Amino acid sequence: MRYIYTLLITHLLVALSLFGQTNEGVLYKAMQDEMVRSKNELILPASPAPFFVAYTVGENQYISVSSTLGVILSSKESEKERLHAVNLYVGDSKFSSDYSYTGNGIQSASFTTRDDNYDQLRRNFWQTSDLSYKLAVEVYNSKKNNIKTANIAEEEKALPDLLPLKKVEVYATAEPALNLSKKSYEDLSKLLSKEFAKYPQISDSRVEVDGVETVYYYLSTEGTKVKEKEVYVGITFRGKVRNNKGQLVQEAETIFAPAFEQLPVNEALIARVNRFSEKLVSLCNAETMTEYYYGPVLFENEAVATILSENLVSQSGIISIRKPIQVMASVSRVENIGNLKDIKPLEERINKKVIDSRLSVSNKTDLKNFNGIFLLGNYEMDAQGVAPVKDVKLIENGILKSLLSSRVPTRKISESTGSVRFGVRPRAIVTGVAPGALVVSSVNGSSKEELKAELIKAAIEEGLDYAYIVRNIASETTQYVYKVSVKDGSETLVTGTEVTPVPLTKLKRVLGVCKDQEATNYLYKGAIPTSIIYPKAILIEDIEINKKPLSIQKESPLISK
Amino acid sequence: MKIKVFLLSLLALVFIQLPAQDKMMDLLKSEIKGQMTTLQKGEYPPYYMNYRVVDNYTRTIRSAMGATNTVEEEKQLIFLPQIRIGTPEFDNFREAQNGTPTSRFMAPPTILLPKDLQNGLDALKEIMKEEVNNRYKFALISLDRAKASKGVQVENADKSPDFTKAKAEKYFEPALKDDKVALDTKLWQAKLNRYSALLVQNKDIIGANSTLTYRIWRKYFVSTEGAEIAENRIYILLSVRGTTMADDGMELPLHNSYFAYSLDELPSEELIIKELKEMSAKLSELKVAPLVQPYTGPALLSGSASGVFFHEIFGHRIEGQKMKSDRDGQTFKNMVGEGVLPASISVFMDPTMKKYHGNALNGYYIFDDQGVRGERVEIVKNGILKDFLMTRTGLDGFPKSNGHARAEFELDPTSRQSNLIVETNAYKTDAELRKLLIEEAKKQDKEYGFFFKSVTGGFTQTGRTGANSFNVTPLEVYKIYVDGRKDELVRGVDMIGTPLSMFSNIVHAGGEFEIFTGTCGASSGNVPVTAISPTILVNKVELQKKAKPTVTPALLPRP
Repeated sequence: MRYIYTLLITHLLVALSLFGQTNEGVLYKAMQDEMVRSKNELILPASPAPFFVAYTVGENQYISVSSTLGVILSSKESEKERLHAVNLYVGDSKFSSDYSYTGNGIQSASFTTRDDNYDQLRRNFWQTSDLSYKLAVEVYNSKKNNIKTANIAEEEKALPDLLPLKKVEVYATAEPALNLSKKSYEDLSKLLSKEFAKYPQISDSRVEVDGVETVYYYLSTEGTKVKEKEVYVGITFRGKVRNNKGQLVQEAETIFAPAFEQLPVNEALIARVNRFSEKLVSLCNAETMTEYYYGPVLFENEAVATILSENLVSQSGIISIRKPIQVMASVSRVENIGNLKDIKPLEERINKKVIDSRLSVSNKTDLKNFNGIFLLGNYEMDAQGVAPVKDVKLIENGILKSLLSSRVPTRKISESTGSVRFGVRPRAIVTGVAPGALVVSSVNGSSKEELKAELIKAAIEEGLDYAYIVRNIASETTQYVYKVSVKDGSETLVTGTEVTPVPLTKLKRVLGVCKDQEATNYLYKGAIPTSIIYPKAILIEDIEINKKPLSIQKESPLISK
Repeated sequence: MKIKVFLLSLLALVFIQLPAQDKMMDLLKSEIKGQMTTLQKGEYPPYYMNYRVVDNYTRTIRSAMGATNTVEEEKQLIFLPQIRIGTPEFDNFREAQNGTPTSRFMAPPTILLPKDLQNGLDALKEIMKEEVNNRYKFALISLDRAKASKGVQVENADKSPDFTKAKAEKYFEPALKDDKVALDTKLWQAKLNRYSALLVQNKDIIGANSTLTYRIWRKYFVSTEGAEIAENRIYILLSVRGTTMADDGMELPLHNSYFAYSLDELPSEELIIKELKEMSAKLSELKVAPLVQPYTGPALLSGSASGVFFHEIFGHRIEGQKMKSDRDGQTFKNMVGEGVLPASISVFMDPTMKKYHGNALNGYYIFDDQGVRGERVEIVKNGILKDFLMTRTGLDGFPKSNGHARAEFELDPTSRQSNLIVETNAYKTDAELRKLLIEEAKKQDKEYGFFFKSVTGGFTQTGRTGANSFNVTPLEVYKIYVDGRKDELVRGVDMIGTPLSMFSNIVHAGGEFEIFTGTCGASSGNVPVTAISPTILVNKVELQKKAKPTVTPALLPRP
């Protein structure tokens, strides 16, 4: 009997290695040994020693298939690739070498052997730790000099650089590996792309099906040991039409899911392709905008998600930010913080009204499904080894209450919400403070129909003959803008429009909010799987829509208009 | 036996001459014909079109210090049409090198075609039509722009036509069989790990990388003139690089590379390991080698160093197409018939040379990317400049292509190098060259001359707005003392200079001919090239210090 068990175990081990599974024991041991050696032994004369070292190893695999009209154009299945990043700080938690406060690590990610080869793994960590230490010493000294004259409040200068860890986490995800069966991706891509054959007006149609998975291993000298995973499957439809003026209009739409099996069923996806195609074809005969507009606009569907995510999911929104300190270094390039210096953080307005009082915003990290849509934004452990607060009330009835934060304190935020998210992108280790699922809910909301009536009423009050509904503002050419007659409520699709960006200040008082919600998934910074649940419509006053005619293509006998 | 050989040759000829059945070729012919006919209805009908299709299958395995880093595979069928409107004398390529909008920040698009021709015929035709349409529209813009600037800007002095005549070639190679394309990835992972692990045995080495690049290209070319070409190319490059670091933080790499057309043509593992052991020992010597100061004086350049030197400072200045523009430095444009090198030196560019002394050459091809048969070009004969590397873009006095229009997949071709060969008719042995170096150093009152044994590459600027200069990066450099002291390995210098003064300083050549296998990056992308040269003696080179290292050696010993 024992003999059989042994055989079974042996077979299991063989099977695991055949499928390229990581020998976590070897990987963790190499991380641990080099990390401890780096913390204890890296020292330059008359220089501070490391007080914190953390290694993040990311193992990435992906499949990417692109098809057109039922045939594959490219199909790429990557072999497993491994990268690592080092976070090494000198000084102490009160004043350390951290100057950017982004949590991105002091070194950009480096290729690491994909073999479970203890010696080579240690060599990989050894080289980056050495460079990270030298860079940390250099920026520590530079920061010490520069902070004296930095345009930062004294109160902020006195803040510690790293909050203590409340609990040392040891966690390993139990999520199953992503289905990376190439055939499934290819079959789906072919099936969906074939649908475009029904629409001869659409050119350059593509269906791209991508599955990307990064398994992260995080180990720190504080004792944190985390294995977490970020995955997504995305289906992107693309197409172009030439409208009746010879202008080229292109559109793309992406559907995300946390796993291949959690994509909508084939029939539903085919219906989405057809809906996408019909909308695109409708642009062929759309009217061109003829005059400037300033008045009430009803934003619906994806347009609402765009406005809310652009305003809220940013460092001038519900993400906390600590002002970085400019440093100089010669050993290696320092992180580019130019874009962070001029951000006006929202935390100045904690306990003050920031959006319409009918709206509340919370962040949930364990929400997996909303109205049948699988959400990407749920996670168990953040990239600093902090278990996230599962439900953070960010804005209540329009009043800002809190922000999403890391272990770097700010003037008004002194605890991590466990929001440093792992991202997922081939050949990169991406981390950043981001929501899981941002839930924007409303009280005293109206139905979509009621909001449309409100739109017409507001337009009439301003003496306008028509108003606008905007359903998508994704890009310059992808704008679904509808002119609404105040007489009969009829809608006409128009092109050649440019909707002026809607800032947060415009959301402080809105004319109406929809009581119904819908959800969408997206990749924050192009890599961090995030979800947003939002009201299906918001009516906002004083919105500018300008004329922005599309360029007219040169005539060609090969393809006319 | 003789009969057998004759029969085989005859069969091969029949095979090549007869257009065998190839679906892609048939499709390209029919599409270009149809689209040319349609475009004749436009205001500016094209006078010429060609379609290039590259079936690319590339696999790359990278190992570092005994363990695999990455295993990659690329499979693509890439389409690139060229449409010429106007007249051959003045067309849409007058001011633009590419047939699609490009900039420093925007590469041309990669247009992929389906491989499944059985089911993907409609898709393929639509993609082709869209891209031809896009390029036709850009051609209209380019021609308008060229016409608008005519008479406004100072006109180029060169009055040659924008597109010259060439023979419409017909050539067909059948697609490679699967066994030719196959690669045992696991076997090569293990081999590469063995090679990089071997260097790790030396504690002085901080980096050891081995890479196998296995490329199979099938290139199709059809034109409205009737050209029909299908040519296979195989490139197998094994490279091993070891790096050490001096105590002052200077990184010191050495590398060995091996090029072949099939895996069994690569050198034996025993030879590779023997050479890696030598590299390892040399890296330990380099680690403690003394730094040298800036210097001018005589130097010997080994065959491979001289090959890079000629590629950079000479080869890039005899690329004909770019000389048509007055923005180019045109170093040699008006020097044909004049002496540009010592009378003993000749330089050829020969894409038809597949092997040199049994070694496969990276710059070999049958047809260039304009469908013109590659020709051996006598660039310099006995020191006298004779010819340039020509494409179908004419140059005053050079109205014919010699098959040197080359490009990476997505770009339109321009004049590029192939296999550069430097020869001498006054051959000196290694010992003679060494003696001559010492004599020259003494004459110049120098304590020593230099010997550049290996280089890693270099770069050059050929325009007019910046200094028309070059920089060659040596890896292994020795001081040769005039008083007979032992040669001394040194480090820390780059070779710099300006081309014309450098050429006038070449005095002798000989010794061992060496091959430098490389990839040349320029305005039409990366193309495979080779440089073959004997050792040369230069009576004056200029050396400048390498950039100061930014890091010091690792604080902790290598695990």
